[in-house]
Amino acid sequence: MKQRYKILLISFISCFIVLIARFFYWQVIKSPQLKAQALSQIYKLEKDIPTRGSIYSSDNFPLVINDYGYKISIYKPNLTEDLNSVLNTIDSIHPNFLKDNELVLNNFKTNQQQKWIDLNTVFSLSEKNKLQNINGLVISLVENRYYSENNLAKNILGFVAHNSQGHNIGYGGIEAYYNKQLQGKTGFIWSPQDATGKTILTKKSWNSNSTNGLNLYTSINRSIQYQTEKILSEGIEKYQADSGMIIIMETESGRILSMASATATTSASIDPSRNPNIANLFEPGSIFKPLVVTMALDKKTIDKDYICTQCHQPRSIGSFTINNWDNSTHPNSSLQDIIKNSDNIGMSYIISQLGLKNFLEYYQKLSLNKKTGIDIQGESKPTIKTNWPEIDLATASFGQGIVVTQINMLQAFNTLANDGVLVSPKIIDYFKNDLDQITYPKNQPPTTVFSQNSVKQIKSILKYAVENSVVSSLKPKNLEICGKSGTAQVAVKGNYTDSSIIGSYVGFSPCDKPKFTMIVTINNPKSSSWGSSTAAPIWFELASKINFLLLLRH
Amino acid sequence: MSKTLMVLTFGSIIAQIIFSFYYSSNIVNQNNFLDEYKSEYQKLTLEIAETKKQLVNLTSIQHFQEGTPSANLFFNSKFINISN
Repeated sequence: MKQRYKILLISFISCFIVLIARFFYWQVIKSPQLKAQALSQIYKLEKDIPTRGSIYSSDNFPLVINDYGYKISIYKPNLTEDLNSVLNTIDSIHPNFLKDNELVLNNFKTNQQQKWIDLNTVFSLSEKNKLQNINGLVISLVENRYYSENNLAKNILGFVAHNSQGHNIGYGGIEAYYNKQLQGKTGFIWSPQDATGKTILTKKSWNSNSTNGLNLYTSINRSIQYQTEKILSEGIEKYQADSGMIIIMETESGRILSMASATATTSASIDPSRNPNIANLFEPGSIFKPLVVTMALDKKTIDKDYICTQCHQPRSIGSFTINNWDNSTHPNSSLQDIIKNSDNIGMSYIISQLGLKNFLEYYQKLSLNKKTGIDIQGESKPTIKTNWPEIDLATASFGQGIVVTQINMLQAFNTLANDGVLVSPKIIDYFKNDLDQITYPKNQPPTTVFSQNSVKQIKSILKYAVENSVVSSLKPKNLEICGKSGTAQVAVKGNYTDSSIIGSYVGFSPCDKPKFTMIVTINNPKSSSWGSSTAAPIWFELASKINFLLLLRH
Repeated sequence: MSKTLMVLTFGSIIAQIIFSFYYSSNIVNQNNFLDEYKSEYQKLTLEIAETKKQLVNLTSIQHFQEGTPSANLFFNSKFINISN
């Protein structure tokens, strides 16, 4: 009997020891892991997603705002009505729902294994209220970007889409360049939850507040942007061109008033992630001539009374011959006549007198060898050659053999309008947060490239050229314009051809204290092969409207 | 003595239960309010966004162009001189 008690006692003690050991295991050894599991069940971490900032035009009109919509998911087991009947009800609430989702819905109807489907159709608030009463639907809120003027300034604005991690980020244009400022800072809430998953208010909650994205106020003038896009599209059609680009800049500040690009193919959708005005490199052609003349005047290698005594015949350099666009010659041309007649021969002599070293010095001062720093994503860096034989320097005088972006060319030409001062182009005027506090983006300081005297001389030459050249008949009578047309041949496989050209016109108005500087580029027009009869009419038509719109603003 | 102790013990237990009921219902009420306010806030945010969108649409150039056919006629930049 005593033996049995002993066995029983030992068994009890053993069980007790095992129990204690088990307790020790769970409560001491496994304690941190279990504590973490318990906390994760009681507490939850929620993300507080900030609102993305809006983008405004210069008249404070929201070009991009946030739009909220609803997406639905269907769960077959929870449907109280027939699936077809539910789908027809949804279609009656949101027209074209069945048509838009035809493929996925057909599969969902026939596939018995598939119980759940997420649909991409976005429903409005009123539509969502009608859908709420249908059993089996799960409705979720989605945030989208809404472009109030449809495709207006799309190349400047860019777009927002999910990245590979499922986060919304900006692609192209302002949306990408200022993505950090626009998206704001995500907040986090760490708090206990009840059995239904709702947050419980306790002192143990922890949160870091989200900060909404900044609103961006641009220099884009909505009316001018609209007219620019409209006139450019009409021009491309009228001159049967492949594509075209226009930029308009406020002369003194460098603020971009409008920027547009268009192609002849109406079926091709605009690619907002690529902006040709800042991405495409091109040879500027004769619109480059006034810059070379100003360089020579500024460096005093020629003066305003310069006469080209060798302009009576084409110029030969090695095996190459420099000729004029119409094969004519203009003996004893003055500077005014060289620009008016767009005389390649005269220009080649002017740049020879300027010299390569001086030319490259001004080329760098005009920022033609680097990005302008405009605050839009996707700007290309222009390339500049390192080897300069005499013929290359000569052709550079009339803008061939050098490549720049359209924004580069406009920035450089704007120094002639802006008393020789180079200003950087910019789109964003200021940022504003939810508390209406304003901050300004950092801008590059302006630099002086040409003396005021040199600029005064070139302005008088440009004014003379506009009033006495072939484009004079197109010029609006009420406007004073300083400008230059250009026609550049396009190099195909290393050789220039007449089959592909770029017609351009660049200028500013009025000549004294200009309000704006504008560049128009038309690619491969079929109706005429000259910038003076394609880009120039577009420039003049737009200039008269801009002048009117700027008058309205003041 | 033991009777008094028993009454005190039961009394304190009952008080604790009543207090915990009151306190927990208070928390539940507060959380319900919080939930309601959250829904209301979200609803108002969406309504504001919708109203803003409508306002923006009504003041867009697109709307102006479609609504008024004469809007395409820009200002008259030419003068007609009628001579005797």
